[in-house]
Amino acid sequence: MSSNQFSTFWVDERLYGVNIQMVQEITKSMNVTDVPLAPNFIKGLINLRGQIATAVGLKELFELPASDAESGKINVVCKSESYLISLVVDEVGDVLELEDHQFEMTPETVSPKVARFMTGVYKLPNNLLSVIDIKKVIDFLNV
Amino acid sequence: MNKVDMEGALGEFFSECEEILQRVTSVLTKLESHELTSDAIDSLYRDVHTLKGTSQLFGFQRIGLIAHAIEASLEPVRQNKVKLDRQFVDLIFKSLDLIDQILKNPKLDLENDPFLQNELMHILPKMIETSNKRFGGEFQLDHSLIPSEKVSLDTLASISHDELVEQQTQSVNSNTVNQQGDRPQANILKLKSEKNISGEEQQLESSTIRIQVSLLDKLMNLVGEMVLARNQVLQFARTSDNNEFLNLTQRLDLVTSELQDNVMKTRMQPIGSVFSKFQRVVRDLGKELGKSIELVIEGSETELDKSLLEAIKDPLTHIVRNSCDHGIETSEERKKSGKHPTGIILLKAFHEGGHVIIEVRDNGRGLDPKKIISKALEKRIISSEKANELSESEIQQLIFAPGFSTVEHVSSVSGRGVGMDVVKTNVERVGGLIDLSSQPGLGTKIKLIIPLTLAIVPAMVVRNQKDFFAIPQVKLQELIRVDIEENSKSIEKLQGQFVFRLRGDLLPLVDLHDLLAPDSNKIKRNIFNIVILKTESQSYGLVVDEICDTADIVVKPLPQFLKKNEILSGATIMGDGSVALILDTQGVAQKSGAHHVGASKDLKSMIDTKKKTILLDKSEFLFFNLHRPGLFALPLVLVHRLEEFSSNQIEVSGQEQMVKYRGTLLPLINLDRYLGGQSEIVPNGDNKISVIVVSKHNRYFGLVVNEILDILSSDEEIKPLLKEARGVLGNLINSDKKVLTILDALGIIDDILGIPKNKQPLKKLAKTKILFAEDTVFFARMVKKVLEDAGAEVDHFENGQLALDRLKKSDASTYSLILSDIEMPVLNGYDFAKQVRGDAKFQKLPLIALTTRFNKIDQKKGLESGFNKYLEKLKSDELLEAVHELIGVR
Repeated sequence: MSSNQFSTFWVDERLYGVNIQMVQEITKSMNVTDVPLAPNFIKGLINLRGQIATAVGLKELFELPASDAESGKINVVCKSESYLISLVVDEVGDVLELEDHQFEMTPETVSPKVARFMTGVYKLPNNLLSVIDIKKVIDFLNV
Repeated sequence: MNKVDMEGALGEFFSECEEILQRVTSVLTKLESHELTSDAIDSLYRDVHTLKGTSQLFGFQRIGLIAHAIEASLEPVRQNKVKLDRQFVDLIFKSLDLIDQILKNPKLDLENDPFLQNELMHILPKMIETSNKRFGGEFQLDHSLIPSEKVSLDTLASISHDELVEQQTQSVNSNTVNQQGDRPQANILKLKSEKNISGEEQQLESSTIRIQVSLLDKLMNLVGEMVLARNQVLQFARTSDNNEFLNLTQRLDLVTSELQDNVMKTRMQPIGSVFSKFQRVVRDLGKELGKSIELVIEGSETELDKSLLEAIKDPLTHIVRNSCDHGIETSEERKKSGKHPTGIILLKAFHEGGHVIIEVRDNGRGLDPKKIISKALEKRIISSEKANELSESEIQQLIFAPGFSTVEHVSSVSGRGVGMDVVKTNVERVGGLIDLSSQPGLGTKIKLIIPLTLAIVPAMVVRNQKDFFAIPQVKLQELIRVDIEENSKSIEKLQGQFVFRLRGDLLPLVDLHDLLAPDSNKIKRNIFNIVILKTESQSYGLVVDEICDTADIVVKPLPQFLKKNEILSGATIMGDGSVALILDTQGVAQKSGAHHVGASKDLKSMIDTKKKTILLDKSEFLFFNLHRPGLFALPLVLVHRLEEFSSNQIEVSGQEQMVKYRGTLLPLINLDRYLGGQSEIVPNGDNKISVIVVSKHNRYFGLVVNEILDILSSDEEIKPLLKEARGVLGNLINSDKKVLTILDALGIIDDILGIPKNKQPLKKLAKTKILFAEDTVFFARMVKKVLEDAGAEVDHFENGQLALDRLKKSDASTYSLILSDIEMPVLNGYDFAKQVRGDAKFQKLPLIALTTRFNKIDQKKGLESGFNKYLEKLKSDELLEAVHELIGVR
């Protein structure tokens, strides 16, 4: 493992990334069907050209405080095994190619509410990128 | 026959052959566990005979020959001269395999297929040889088809149907059979090309065509998309008033539906086609492993999409093989652990909530957690620290881990390079789930949950607020719209829950809005749109904002985590491209507690079923309470129905209270007042009264009680009260040691109707022996007691036949009198009476019918059948009077 490409995005002004191999596509906000009785981070279901994806609000998933800022406009659709999960994020960033030496394990101080979905952190020159593991998200959903 | 007919006929021939093979296989497999009845052997024989006949008709001479050999060898079995044994059955199985192969590939090149050559050469002569050996020459083969009892390989080899007739007359040297091994194969078997068969094949090719499943998949997906597109067009068409366009859309609609139906048809197959193969698998494996295993198949008619069927075939085979290999123990082991020596594997398929569930259950040794852990450690699937933390089910899940296999040695049976991980992957590939549960020593259950993702289902679309939900139409019973303003009484509240009175039955209502948003305020509705849904156990009404339309939907599975709320079974894409959720009707009922509301309904249905199955060893009582201390009960056999009425339905006529019930008036009997208590009917908190409906004199009477509690079975006798009390039969003690007062419902009704009780004292019935037929334990006990108390001796039998058998063994003077119920199993009262009267010995024997079917017509029928008297049950005084009268007359 020499390098990895990450699709990055912003949630509540923080930078996150997902391994690009997991990302199927990125779309603007779509018509969402509510799922009754589901936890609040389940934003609903969207029709992705005949396939149904579950929209998961990252802000709600990470239990970040609600803010007035415009949020949840973009869907980062990820595929893992048979699951089609759409991460609802605020803004999409660049695709970054990162080196192993930039990587560090998730520091202990990171709130466990977010840390449980992370594989680690990449140190960017002027920022930090939290790597989200889709499988961990799905595992969490399935518990 | 023209070409088309011929093609159709050939197709039928093939499917018939397949059916026959399946049937024969299943009959033969039964042989292992059960003795074959002569019926089964006859059907076996008939099937093989049909196979022979039709295959010859269609020019498949080779099949005909094999079938003939089987038939011939079965003949002595049929005549009971020989028993089918294992070896013999094996031989038949092998020949069936051969037929199967020829059927699958009629063009099969026998000359270049050493395997088949070998098979053909070995089996046929051997079969005939075996059967001959067995019959010790006694049995001769039918000479019309096969040359002699010893068929030569040369004959077989050179037979083509043109020459068959000629060949048949020839007698062939029997030595060739034994010499077959020495000869070079190629010389022996020179099957000539069968011109006619190739001719058939050309026609066959034009009637059936092999298609890649992937192509069918594509077709299916496209049809799915087309249905959606059609839906969109239809939706759009609603806004248009262009007639031409509307006509076109109508045609499009029709054609699409038809296309969809037909594409579906190409793919649906009953799962039995896969299941039946396992009979053989299990049988062969059991033999190979030296175990006795029986395969039980349920739900083989469950239809499943072809591609899914294909996809689960291998995993299922693996699971079944595993069950045989690892699950079921050897007979000795089973005996040691106190089990039946024959292990059972249950294969069961059924539809459930948009899925097909396939269960493979065995009653074998179960999974051994220790063994699994040590294996997992050895294979480095888990670390030793982790091993200690695993729960039992987590340990069981380990067998699905890649590279895991619990057998010490890779056996030919289940160790074929694939493990349960492959099974899991395969099942999950088609969107299925695999679930495993096992109890050490008791067995293992593996459940495959296969989604109907490919299926298009007709559904009803309903609206709640802004969201649309689909309900599969199979769950739908009817739609009802109730306007409260027009009919304010129709929607009522029962213990805080809405119920609707549907043709006299209470239907629990579930408001979709309340269910989906339990925290929000309840909506006040003036109009109830009710979708009546049925679940396994009951029906309920779902109240929705709007009932929109029907639509054909493509069911898309939901991710597991969205099914946690249990009210959703899937999702679909609507005509406008939006996603709609599919409601799981069973889940909705459970979530809403509609099944609690329906509790009294359960008791009702219990009564309905109870009435059908009269238990012979116990009497049953419905118990309830009144507005007075103590528990009260009625014999369940008297109860017609349980009802609940609103107190404002009670109408008064003169002194009597009644309610409208099924188009007539139901007189209410206030048990409290009758027993000397409260004179007013007291409704419960919801202004309801509970009523037990009892039928008597062909009329219904409603006994008003406070609360209906439960049903009690008791084999205790009813103990009479010390002092006779009005309307009471006696006492009974229930399992909680509480005393139940058994009420004399019929007596109470008579009393209220003013029918007087006969108080005249009667003489003792000394030296009177009475034959008594009655199937209901409660009545039997009561009557027996009455008669015995009066001094008579009573022989009781549970149905007419038993009583008749006893009677026939007796003299004309053994019994002084016969008492009989009318409705009894095996031999009913009317027929019983006719048979008694049919015997000259008993023509004058007094015969009394005791029944609850007490009306003029039945009475007439009874008297015509030969009864002297036709009496109503539980009227001991009348009975005793009649007994005295008839015996006195004699």
